[in-house]
Amino acid sequence: MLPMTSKFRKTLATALLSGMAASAFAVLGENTQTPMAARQKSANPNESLQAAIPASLDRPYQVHEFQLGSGTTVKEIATAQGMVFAVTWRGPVLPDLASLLGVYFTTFNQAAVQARASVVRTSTVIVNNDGLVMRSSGRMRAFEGYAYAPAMVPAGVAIDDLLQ
Amino acid sequence: MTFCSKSAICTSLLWALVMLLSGCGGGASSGTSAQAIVPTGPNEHRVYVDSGPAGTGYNANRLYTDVTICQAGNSANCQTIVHVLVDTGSTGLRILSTLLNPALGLRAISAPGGQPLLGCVQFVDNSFAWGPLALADVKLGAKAVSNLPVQLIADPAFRSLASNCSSGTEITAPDTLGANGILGIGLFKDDCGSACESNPLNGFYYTCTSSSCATARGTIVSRNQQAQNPIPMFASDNNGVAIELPAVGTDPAPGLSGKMVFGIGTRPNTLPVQGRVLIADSRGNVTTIFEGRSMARSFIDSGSNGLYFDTATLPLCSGASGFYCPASLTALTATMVGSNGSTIRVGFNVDHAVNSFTSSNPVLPNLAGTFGTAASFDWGLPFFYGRRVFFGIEGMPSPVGAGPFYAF
Repeated sequence: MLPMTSKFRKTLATALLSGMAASAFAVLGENTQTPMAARQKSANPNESLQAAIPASLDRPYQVHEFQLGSGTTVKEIATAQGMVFAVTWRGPVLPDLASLLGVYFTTFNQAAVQARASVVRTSTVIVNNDGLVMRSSGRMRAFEGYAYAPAMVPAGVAIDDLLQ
Repeated sequence: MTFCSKSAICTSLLWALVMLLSGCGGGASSGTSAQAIVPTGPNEHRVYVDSGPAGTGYNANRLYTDVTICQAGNSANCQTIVHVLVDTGSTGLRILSTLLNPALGLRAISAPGGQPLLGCVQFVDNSFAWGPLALADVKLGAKAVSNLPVQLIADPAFRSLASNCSSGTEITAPDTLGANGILGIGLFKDDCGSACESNPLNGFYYTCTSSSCATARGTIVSRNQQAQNPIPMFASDNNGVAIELPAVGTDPAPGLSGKMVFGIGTRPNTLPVQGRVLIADSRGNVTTIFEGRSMARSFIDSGSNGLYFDTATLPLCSGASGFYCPASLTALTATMVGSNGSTIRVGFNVDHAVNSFTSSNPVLPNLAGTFGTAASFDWGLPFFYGRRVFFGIEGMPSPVGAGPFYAF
């Protein structure tokens, strides 16, 4: 969870005033500025913005954390310009991965189908493609995972640290 | 998590073969052939690892049991389902609906509003189990429970609504599950818990918006109508379970047979050793300390087919995504820590996964892979070999305290 600093609360209040808090989480590979209507397609439309960290001179990325209606937390990590290059999730149920992964869902789905066809499959999902790196693990009441597009990660960002 | 088969006879034959092969060793203990642990008491029920339901591929490290399902209130109208996955990582009994005899006439449970209660269970690979909840009388050996809410997976009457549950792959047959059903008997009493009593957007439960069942919406549901761990509903021996499997040695084995023992401290020899009880948090997590790292979201899960943890010291396989393939058998140690401060040191082995698959044996004692996030150590089925692992259910008192706890 992101710390609820007073600076952050101010950011959140500003966001609320600008009408941003009503939005659903953004989609991997898409812009956080995508119009509201297009971002409402998730299975749980009642997302609420829980936390936000803006980009700055020494931080070339921004973070928005949402809580879904199910209680699962989704974090989107975007470039300073708003392009979402990573998403993480943790909570009692999986988020709607089709909504969350966007165009990358096909890549994930192919990997999942391939994994099911393999001799013995792991109890976790591993995707290590040039276009998509993803982990999905956990169990009932306690899912967690992340996905990111390696090519879109800004220079100087230690992606592994961001995903913890 | 899970997988499945249809022949209990096949299981018996396989086990007979195991015993025969053990016999070929002249009775000497080679350290590689498992000894069967046979259920004896009225609170014990057989579990087994074998190749799983016919036609479902290679099922490794899948722990199964047989479950007898009866029409509620009619003990003469029953059916035994074999190869039901024993999963301490989930809660509730779920059976593929197409395997159930329609003559069982299981009575559907209604959600608030009067329409059918529909359950949604997700798995990490985005596969999911969708179907209505119904009441059944269920027997695990001599232990019986009346009016247990059971999920009927992929009931044809409701499959058109499956997309409400997930955009993933619906489980409709044993081959996607590797089992004929799932028996979730972990640390919790119900699958969703109190969150589903007040929040209709819980992601676990849905209901039809009208009697035509053309569309569905999320619904609240009381805890006693959710998919239930049957153990707390037993008249006695109802505070938890121990899973006891024979030691395997370091080589793959063609099968093994053990038992579930219901009740903790309710009968002689059903108590964990003092000081070896690890209290878990509300998510069922304890801490594992491994390679100097403290992994706070660790758990013991019979439904995981390997030990899953992240480490840079073991090479990943090139031919099997996510598994470890060290050049030779590698011995490691970790320490589990409960929230009560109890610590238990655990030794375990990791071997070359791809080489072990070439045996085609279902019992792979050294199978391990990456978990994917650094804060978790998933102690899957290999951890259970040669141990008696206790699961104390949330809120249920026992001589060693109330659950949720693990002990071994």
